[in-house]
Amino acid sequence: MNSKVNIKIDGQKYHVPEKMRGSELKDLADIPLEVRLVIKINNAADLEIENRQEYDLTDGMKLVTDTFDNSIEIMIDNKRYIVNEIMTGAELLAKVDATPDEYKLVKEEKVEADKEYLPTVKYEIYKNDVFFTTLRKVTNGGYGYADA
Amino acid sequence: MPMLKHDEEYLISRGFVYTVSEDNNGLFLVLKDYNLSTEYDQHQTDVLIRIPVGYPMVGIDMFYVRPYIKIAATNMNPPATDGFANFIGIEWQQFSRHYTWSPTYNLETHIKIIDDVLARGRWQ
Repeated sequence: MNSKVNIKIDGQKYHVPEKMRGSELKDLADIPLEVRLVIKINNAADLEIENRQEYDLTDGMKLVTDTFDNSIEIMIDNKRYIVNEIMTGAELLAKVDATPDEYKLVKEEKVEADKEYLPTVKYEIYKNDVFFTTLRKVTNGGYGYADA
Repeated sequence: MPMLKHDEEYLISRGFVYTVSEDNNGLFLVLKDYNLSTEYDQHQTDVLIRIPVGYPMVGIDMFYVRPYIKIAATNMNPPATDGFANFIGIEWQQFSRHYTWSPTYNLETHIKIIDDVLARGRWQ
């Protein structure tokens, strides 16, 4: 059975087979074959990808090109922010001077339902993630005015 | 009563086309052709927000739409929108959405709630 793993190439997440050739990895990420691509390894030198060689890929593996801009730019409430790769919901809210007791932070999803990011949970953040904040306590009806 | 500068800047940053009119109680801000979620039976509507005299110490409450909108799947009005109100010579469908106002809030705070209800279809 061929299982799949999640890797990142230049910050973008891909769900890929456990074994892929260098050329297939570059093709996947739309990287020209002549561009240098490396596997980032903790506490060790980067491993340069050879186009013809097959690689064993593991979950969470990160590959980058030389020109990769490591900053993660996201949108919160229609404004751009540079953030870290791992952040809690509260840390993201702090970017817009909002607190979790007053505001909730929601990530816009294209396919699935939007997802609330909880204040104390750590999340992996991706380039171009889009978030919005909204007040926690909004009620429908009950009071107000209906004057004409 | 003029619009506050940071509110105007926010509206411009969002790309809203809007009109502002005034009576003794404050301003009527109308966001033109606001894009709606597919949850609704219309693609666009105008949205009216009343900005009261004394804002931001006095809070903004509710919002209003015209043309009226229904939930597409059920052809029913969204909850707490059965009321109608006449402003600037037009009858508007009232979205009765409330929260405890803080003077630290502003028009952006209120429009975020409108976004949640109208643009993202969270009418519950």
